[in-house]
Amino acid sequence: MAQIEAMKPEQMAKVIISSLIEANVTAADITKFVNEVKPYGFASLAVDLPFIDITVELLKDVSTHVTTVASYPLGGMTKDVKVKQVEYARDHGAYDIDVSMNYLAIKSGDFGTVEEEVRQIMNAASDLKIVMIPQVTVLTNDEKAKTCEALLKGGCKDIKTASGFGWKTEVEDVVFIKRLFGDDIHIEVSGGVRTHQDAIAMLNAGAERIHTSTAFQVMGMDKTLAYQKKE
Amino acid sequence: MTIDRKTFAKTIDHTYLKIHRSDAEIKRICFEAEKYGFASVAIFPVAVPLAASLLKDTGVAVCAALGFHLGAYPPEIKAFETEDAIAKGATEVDLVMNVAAAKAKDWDLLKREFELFRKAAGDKIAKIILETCLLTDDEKIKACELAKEIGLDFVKTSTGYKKGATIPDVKLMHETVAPQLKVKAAGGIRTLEDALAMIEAGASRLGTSSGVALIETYDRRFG
Repeated sequence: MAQIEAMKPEQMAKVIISSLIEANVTAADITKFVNEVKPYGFASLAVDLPFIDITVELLKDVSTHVTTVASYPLGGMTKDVKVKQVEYARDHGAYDIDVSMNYLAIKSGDFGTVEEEVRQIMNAASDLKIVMIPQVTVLTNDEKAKTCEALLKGGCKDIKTASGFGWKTEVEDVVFIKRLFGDDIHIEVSGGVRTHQDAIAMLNAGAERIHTSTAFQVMGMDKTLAYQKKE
Repeated sequence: MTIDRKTFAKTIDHTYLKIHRSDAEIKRICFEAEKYGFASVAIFPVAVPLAASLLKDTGVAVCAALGFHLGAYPPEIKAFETEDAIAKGATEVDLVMNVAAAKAKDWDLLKREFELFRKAAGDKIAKIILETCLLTDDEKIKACELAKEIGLDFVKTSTGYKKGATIPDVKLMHETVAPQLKVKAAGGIRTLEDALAMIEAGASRLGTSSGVALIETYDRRFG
């Protein structure tokens, strides 16, 4: 595959997902954030469940999607609760939802439980795109492979490698998953993609979308987002 | 201050809220909680069935950590999450409150969340987590007053994923809710000095992953 060396900001924007997800983020913060980034043509903006409605409304005249999250970022909620969150996102018009997986089951080698969770979430999704988060940062290569197999068996082809919040993705993680699964799994990268070159390396490794909290830097622009995580 | 060993052990919610270990870790903390007589094991809902089966008839509570760790979703889903955890074996529930509602001064939303939480928890011990490091003192007091009004059982300082409990916060929360409600301090409690200072400040429970070290230090010092 031809290797990209650089991308124009407007090209890069089309694969960027920017987010404003923190415990203390209010509707007023979301409004300022969305209005700030709306002109740049990002692939999607990620917000927590209560803010889907206003984000959909603010983005109604542009192509940028609305992403939300379930059991994020720790994955400790039961599959029944994750299904409730997926149903809420579906009914409120989100385009996709990033779902943290059952890491306890993964680390315990219980991939039947992992697969069943994915299947129930897929069954609840309808038109909502499901993106599962394997959290590669805490997995061995064997666990990454078995988790991706369980995802495919459960009917999901889309992953976001890690959740951010300190959990990082290495280029090697993307290479490893692409080598085993090729185009069967679509990869979004999250966690540690800070610069334009970080993003280019991930895309060259086979990632399709980039989650980042430094979107303008990743686009190669000399400015920073005014509305970042507030902690 | 003096506190007897059994009472001290019963202040500890023995906590594993990380994502890098297997069921073996849950088994370990359940074994330790029973051995040392801790109040509970505090774990994610996915670990509740295993812990409930291991701790049946031991007097150690199974405490489900709900809303972790951002707490940013609708009260109806949190109520469902509470009922679901209890149905699967939780005997105590710690829920992260909607911090953003407090920041936006949407006290009606926060009140509805607390009401639905209380109803869903039924007669189980219900602790609401304020995540005090994100709140002003006024917001902490308001959340505590709401928790008292609704009749929750505990106000808890922190998830442990951000800055943890401070002595001034525990004092402030205790002054606001006592004697009707109790205070749980969590996050950053690693030494016996930390633990005793939190109890002195008004905490009745301590959320910590250092429970075994705390009790062993207690034994060396007072045993």
